[in-house]
Amino acid sequence: MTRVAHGAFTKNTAKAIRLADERAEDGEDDSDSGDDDGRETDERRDEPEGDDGEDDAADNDDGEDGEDDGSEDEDEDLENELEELRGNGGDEIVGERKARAKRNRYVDDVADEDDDDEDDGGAKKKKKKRGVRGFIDDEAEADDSEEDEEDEGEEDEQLDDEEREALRRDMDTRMHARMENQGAFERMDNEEEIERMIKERYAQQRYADAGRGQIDDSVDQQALHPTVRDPKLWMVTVKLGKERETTVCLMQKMINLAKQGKPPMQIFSAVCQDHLKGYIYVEAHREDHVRKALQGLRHVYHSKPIRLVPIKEMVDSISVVQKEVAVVKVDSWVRMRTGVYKGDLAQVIDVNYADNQCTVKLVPRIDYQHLADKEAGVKGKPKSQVRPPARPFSESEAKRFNLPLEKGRLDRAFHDVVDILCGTTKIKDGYHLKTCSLATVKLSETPTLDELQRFAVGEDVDTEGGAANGALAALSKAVGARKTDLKFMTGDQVLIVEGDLRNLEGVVERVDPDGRVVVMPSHKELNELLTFKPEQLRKHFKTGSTVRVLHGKHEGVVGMVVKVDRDVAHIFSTVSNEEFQVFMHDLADSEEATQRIDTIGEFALHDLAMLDGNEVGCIVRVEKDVAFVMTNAGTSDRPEIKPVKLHDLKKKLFSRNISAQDAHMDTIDQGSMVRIIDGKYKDATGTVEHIYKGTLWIRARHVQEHGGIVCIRSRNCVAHGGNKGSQIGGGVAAQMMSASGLPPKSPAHALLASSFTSGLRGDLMAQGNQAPRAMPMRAFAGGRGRGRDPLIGQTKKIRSGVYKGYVGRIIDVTDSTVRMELQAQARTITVNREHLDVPQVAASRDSFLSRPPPSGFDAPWARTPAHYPQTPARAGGMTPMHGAMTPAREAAWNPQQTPAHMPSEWQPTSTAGTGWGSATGYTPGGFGDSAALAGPTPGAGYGVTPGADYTGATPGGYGITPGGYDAPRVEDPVPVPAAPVAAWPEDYMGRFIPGVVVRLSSGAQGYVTSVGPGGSTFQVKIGTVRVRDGVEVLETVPKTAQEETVTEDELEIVKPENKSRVIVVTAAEGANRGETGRLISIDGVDGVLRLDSSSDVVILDMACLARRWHE
Amino acid sequence: MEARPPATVDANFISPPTHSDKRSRACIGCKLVKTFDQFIEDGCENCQHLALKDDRERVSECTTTSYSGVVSLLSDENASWVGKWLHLGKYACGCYALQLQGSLITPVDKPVGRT
Repeated sequence: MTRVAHGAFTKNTAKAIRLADERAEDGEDDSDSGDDDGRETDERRDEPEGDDGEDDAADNDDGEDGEDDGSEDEDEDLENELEELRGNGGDEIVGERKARAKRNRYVDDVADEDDDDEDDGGAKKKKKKRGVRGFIDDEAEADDSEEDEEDEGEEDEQLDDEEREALRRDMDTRMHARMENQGAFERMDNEEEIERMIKERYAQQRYADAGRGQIDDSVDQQALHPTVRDPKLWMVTVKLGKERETTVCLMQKMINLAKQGKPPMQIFSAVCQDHLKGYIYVEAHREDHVRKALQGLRHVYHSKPIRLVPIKEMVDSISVVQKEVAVVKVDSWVRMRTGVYKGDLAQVIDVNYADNQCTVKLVPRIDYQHLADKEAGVKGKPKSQVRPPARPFSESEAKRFNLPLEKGRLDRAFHDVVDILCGTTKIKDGYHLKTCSLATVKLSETPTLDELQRFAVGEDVDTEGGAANGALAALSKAVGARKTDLKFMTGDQVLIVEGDLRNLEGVVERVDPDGRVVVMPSHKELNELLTFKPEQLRKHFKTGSTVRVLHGKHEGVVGMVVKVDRDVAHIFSTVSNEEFQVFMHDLADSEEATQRIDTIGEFALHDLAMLDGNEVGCIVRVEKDVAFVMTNAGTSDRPEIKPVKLHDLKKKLFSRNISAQDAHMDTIDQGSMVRIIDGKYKDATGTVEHIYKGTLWIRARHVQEHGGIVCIRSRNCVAHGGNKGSQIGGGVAAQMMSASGLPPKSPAHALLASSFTSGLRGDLMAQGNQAPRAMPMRAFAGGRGRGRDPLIGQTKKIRSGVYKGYVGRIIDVTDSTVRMELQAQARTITVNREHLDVPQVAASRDSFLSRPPPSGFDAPWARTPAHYPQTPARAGGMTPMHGAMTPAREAAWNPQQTPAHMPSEWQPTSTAGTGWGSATGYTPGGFGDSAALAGPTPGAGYGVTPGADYTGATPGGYGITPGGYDAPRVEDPVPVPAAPVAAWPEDYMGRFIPGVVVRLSSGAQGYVTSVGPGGSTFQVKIGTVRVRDGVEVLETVPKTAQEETVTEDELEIVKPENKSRVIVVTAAEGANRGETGRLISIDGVDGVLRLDSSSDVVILDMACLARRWHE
Repeated sequence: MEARPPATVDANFISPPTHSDKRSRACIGCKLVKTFDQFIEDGCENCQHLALKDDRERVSECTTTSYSGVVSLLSDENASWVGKWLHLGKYACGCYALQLQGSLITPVDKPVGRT
């Protein structure tokens, strides 16, 4: 501020002095000008300091500011100039005046030229002058800028002779020009003409300023800070996106006003900033000036207030923060923003900043077919929706599609020879050279090695391994641009790659703050520390060293260097058992060889995690912030690996207490050894890591992929040391357990079985006595060794006690209490067993054995019939078992195994007599009671109901009953909602069990009514078929339909349709073979069905299901 | 003062870009914003030495589309603080860029002197 004031003062004073001098020295008496000057000087002193900007010596001040003094100034200035010109034209300039002129900015350039003429040191003098002037006022620049411009070059350096000579010549021409001008002036008699000429001249001069650097910027800019005298900035609200337009409109309006001769607007400028949306700045002294100026402008919100920008913020509001924009240069790696190449890596080979265009090299994605269509003039054929793969250009393919290829044309833009495909696509070395706008590319961070490899395929297309490595090395050189940000750490092994000590190895001792690296050479005769620049060094890892990857796709992976190819290391990851290549500089020594990224949040490698929806997966690889999960949707042959972020991992699952069944229905637990019997990993063995709904994640030895994890259905495995056929002691209980998925684990089972039966028996006899009830449970639980109480996981309702009415999931069981998680409240409680109700039991095959025998032995069955044996197989087994419980039967029972399972053997048994179904005679009194109760729920009748009732309900259901077995089903008068299907021979393991709808090799359809011993023959009742939705569907089976006897080879399972009745033909987790239900929906390979027996919904593989026929 | 001969005024204004945004370019020498066609037609009024007139190549060389912000300089000379601050005071009234990227690729010849 003071400086400005001083400047104004100096200027004015100088002017006054000069004018006085002129008058005195030139001896010219110009009374007019003298008066004027005097007045001006006075006036100037009265003027506010800040306004000095308006009175510029140059002309062209049109007075837009509308201030009177401004225009007056102009007139005065003009006259001064004229006066000076006249003076110069007439007389030689006196030396004394010249000396003063050096400090005087009002001296015209002609006078200055005289200065220069005098000696060669003119430029130097001027330099001095400039120094002073810089403090005076920037306006001065306008005055003498012309000469500055000419001398600019010389200003900062010593002049050598040549330059001096040039200067002298320059001066001569100027001199000559001046003489000419003088002549012109002399010819001019008319003042107006002179005035015009001056204007012209100054205008010219000002334009000539263009392009001149601002030498004194730093000093000037300080002085330019806004003062209270300067116009103010006003913030105006305009329509979003119309900022620039409004600004330009104001300019146009000014011109229009001027053209129409109307008074100009009283605003000085309008500014729009690209980053400031919805506002522009208008510079004016007063708000109403702004309002007036904005009148009639479309995009201005006139009703919104106009805000004054505080003086302190004025500079900020019109400054642009200079962003350090990374510029796309030749050789830089970019990514395409749009088009078919979107996201692709490209290398810039040419840039034209002026046109905002660049040419990039891309791995082509040429749609040959599309091009061919276009060539052939096929119209309307849309381009394939699929993005063509990035492949090097193939000439043969182009030929195959008959595409015109012009080879070896010299392209002027690249100064290189290119091939041109279809007249437009430029091809070079298999790459596509594409010219595109700079806006469509964006700078890429250094590409990763594998991306570079993909990029390099264009070059490697027909080279062998060695050459490919060469290409890689070339690539690494190309990437080497970022060597500056190489980070060395203490302890890094380095190789010196530049200078005299090339190929010397060493270890980084420390890194100095200035970036220099101090290296201890690993050479026995070099004991001194050496200092290098980072670019002189390269990380160096010997084969066999353990390293960690710092950047790129494999970031965080720890592995061993197995091979070194110049700058590229081949790493074998210890985690994923994969080999990959990384740049040396992306590696670091890994001291903690075992430490690696294998956790993501709370999840660790090989954890089982719940994903969205129904998906569950095992984490097979962990990267920086993503886990790769092998989900249960895949199979062993086609594993589905999903990359998921941490937040997609919903919860961790534990398989500790979960089991599955193998192909032989043996139980598989976590940690079991299994053998894969199907698929590409056939015969591979592994340890079960996780189990989820019949899906196993096995860590298989000798499997390389995915860290050895294989996801497979449990039925495609066999447990090692499986229990197939292990019928210890021939105990029927063992057999039964096996059938129901509880393999007897030890001979203790035989014992258990008997203790169990005796317990039950005791129960039966006790009839409500609770004391012995716990006994079988304990015996049972104790006997199981491992595994869990089947109650666990079930959802039950509490019948009495404090928690009466609550429903919860049982998480732990003791003899007398259970711990449950309540559904309604987030807590776990302990309740007595007898407080529990059994509203629904999850489809658990264990339910029969696990269920605490209720006090009223029959009552629960009647109430919840479904709980009792759910599958016919079991039901069949039960009856004799219970029968066997009667002491009378015991002796006969043991050697016979489960009669139900062996109907063939059973039939001839004389004791069968009237058949099991009617064997009520064996049933003790308790059973007799149940008969009445079972009546209303025929479906639940099973084995426990007296034969009379039972046979009536489902005569065919009891294959074991000789009488019922052959009884024609068609005679069944009672609708059976959940009738068990007919039984089948125990030794038949196939899928064509009675009730299954089959297609014969002849094409006819029917259903299996019975199975011969060992599945040797099948009775199939043939029905009529109708085509529905293009599929032949068995529609009716007449009662009198014939039956055919066929063999298994002639049969084929008919895949059940949605909503149809189905039968489980292969045991799976959740349902036993022979169980029936209704298919609710089909979800890919899985079918969702509701079991008739328990009304539970289970999900089974569709291969386990067959359509079921029933009348 | 108010009534000025329009001719005088007119001469000192540089027409603003006829199209906004995409087609407008800024002179690298003086930041003047005009359209490409305008540069071809009139050259750059401030930078006569760039000789942009009727020279497409020169225009694409010496002007750029990568500029940001626009200032409409409405008052001549240094009446405008914005003009002063941005060192536009010496240029004619017109639309200028606040900031631009790029530099004159080829060294610009010195002004040829007065015409």
